[in-house]
Amino acid sequence: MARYGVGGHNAIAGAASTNRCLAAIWNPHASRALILLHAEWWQADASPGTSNLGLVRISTQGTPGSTVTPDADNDYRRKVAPATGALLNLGDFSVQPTVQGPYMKRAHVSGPASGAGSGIAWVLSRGLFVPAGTGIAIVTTTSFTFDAGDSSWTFDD
Amino acid sequence: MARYAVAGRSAATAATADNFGAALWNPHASRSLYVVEIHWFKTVATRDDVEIARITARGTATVTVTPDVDNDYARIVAPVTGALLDTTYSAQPTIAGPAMYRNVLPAAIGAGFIYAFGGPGIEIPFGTGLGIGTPVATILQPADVTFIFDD
Repeated sequence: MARYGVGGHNAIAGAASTNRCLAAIWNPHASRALILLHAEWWQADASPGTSNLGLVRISTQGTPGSTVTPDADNDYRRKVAPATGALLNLGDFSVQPTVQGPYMKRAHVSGPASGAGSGIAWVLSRGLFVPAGTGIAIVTTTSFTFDAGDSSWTFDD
Repeated sequence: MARYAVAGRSAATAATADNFGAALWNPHASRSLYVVEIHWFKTVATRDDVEIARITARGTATVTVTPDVDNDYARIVAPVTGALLDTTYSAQPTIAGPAMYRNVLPAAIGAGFIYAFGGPGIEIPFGTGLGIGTPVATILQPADVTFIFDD
């Protein structure tokens, strides 16, 4: 298995809702799992609000606002693109992914008076198996309009 | 392999997406090095958008820190690859995206991050590098940067 790092930027949400997806790693492969090792998210708005976030499995991809496709440059050894074809899907989604709760992690991220830069980093020490045709997402756990932000993910594939 | 730590202070970039503030460059003709940690701490109270990404061309560095035997954790030998820490550019490196990591730093002196990459770290093949830049068209402010690598 090779190790990959990928980062991307989500836009601000179009509306306030619960289980609204900010960013997600999606495994589109028909049979191969990937292992998620780390996920983090940082507020990028100039006047960020409070963000109640959860890390949760998803069973459908939804329709993301944008996608980053990791390639060989994201391989820690710079040799090959992810075998699963893993994707980093970014909000705001026009069709939300289907959340498979309960949440695995939750965090409360408060916006600093000076602006952007607060966030959360989750280290998944033994790794989180992401089966084929599923994903892991950062979503809202309460109904609020999430901020634009940057996320980074590390996974073995 | 020996382990090295090298540090410097970057200059502000232009307000251009994918401009780099600093990068570790591997000039060797055949040997890889492995980055195990990156540290970055702001020296100016202005927010930053940050990306970590590979580079395939070094650009033209006007300030370079050359690690020597004093940067060796065991203080025995200089890096075999001849690794270089570039911290100011007159011509920018060439990015090889997508970015591996992204984050946002608040408008506070001293805000920063330490990334520790598990296992052997991020391999930097010969003739390439790993840089810290801005993913958007805003200035990446000066910072104190440290690379820890195996060579």
